[in-house]
Amino acid sequence: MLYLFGLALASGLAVGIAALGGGLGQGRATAAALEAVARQPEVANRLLTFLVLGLALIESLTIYALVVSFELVHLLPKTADILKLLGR
Amino acid sequence: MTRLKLITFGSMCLATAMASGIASAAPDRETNWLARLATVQVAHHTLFGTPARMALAWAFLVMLFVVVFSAMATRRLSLRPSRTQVVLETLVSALRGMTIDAIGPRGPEFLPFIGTLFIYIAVMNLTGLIPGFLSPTSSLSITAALAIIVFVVVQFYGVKEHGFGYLAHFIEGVPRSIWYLPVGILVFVVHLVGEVTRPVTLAIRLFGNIMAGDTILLVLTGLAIPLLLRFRLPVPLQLPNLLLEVLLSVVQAFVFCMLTSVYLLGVVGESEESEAHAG
Repeated sequence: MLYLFGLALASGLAVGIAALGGGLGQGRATAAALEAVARQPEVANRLLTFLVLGLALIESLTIYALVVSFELVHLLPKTADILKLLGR
Repeated sequence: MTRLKLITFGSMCLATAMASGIASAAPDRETNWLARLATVQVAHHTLFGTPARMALAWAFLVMLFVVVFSAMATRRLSLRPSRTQVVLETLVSALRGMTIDAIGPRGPEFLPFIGTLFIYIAVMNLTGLIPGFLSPTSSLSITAALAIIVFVVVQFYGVKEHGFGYLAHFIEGVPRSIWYLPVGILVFVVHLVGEVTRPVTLAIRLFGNIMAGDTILLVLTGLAIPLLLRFRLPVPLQLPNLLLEVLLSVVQAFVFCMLTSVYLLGVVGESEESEAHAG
């Protein structure tokens, strides 16, 4: 029972905590890009490439956690089965 | 512009209605049309039994489409281009610019490889957004295959450029003396792990993004189904996410190709030693 509790908790928290760090990182990247564009509006197009690349790389860390979360969710049994097991 | 918005919104409502029809009438029905076609059994084996085989079938379909489209579009190239030709030329010159920015003057050598990667991956990603279709890249098998191809190509170019001294790269910066052997072994192992991690991250990044996007679309469409069935309101709840996924599909293909270019730059780019020997 503790195992199932741990599994369910982990599958929820995995991507939650990862999104925290990912959000902070992407916020800083976007802030820096915006500041640079505010100083020099003509470099906006060149910076867009770097910004999108950087954001995608930061986001991929959150995606790894999402994949782990998906795997864990698929390991959880159905509620009906658990209730049958508990005899209800 | 208003007509375009109307068409988009209308087709999204239609997609929601389609999904509702399928979900209410036949809840166990297969999700994409190729799967429904293939429920025919051949000698007691279902044609595309596992999800990986289903994704592979879709990958071949996309490949067929891209090849046929390209062949037809490049049949009569002229100096006074048609609209299709203009669009394709813009795409190719943008890709060429990307390879030159990323790899340097040797960029166009790799344009066929990286360009094909980009077009193939972008079309594969976009295929899943059409109702009734499946993106091959939402399966880890397909993305892993693409990542392995990139890995093999990068290693091949590494050996081609530097000969078998390519392996010496792995022990960078460690002085060649017997006392530094443990350090050398450690550096070798760390570099090896880093090298092997690259295709793994490429595969999981592409797979995670596309699978998560398709799952979100699935869940949102599922939310819209009761609205349609009970209140007769075909509200396309998945529309904002659909537009985001269109952007993300192209961005993920771009990121895959950008990283491939960076890895190629690592093996093919000029090192200080070669410049010193040449001078």
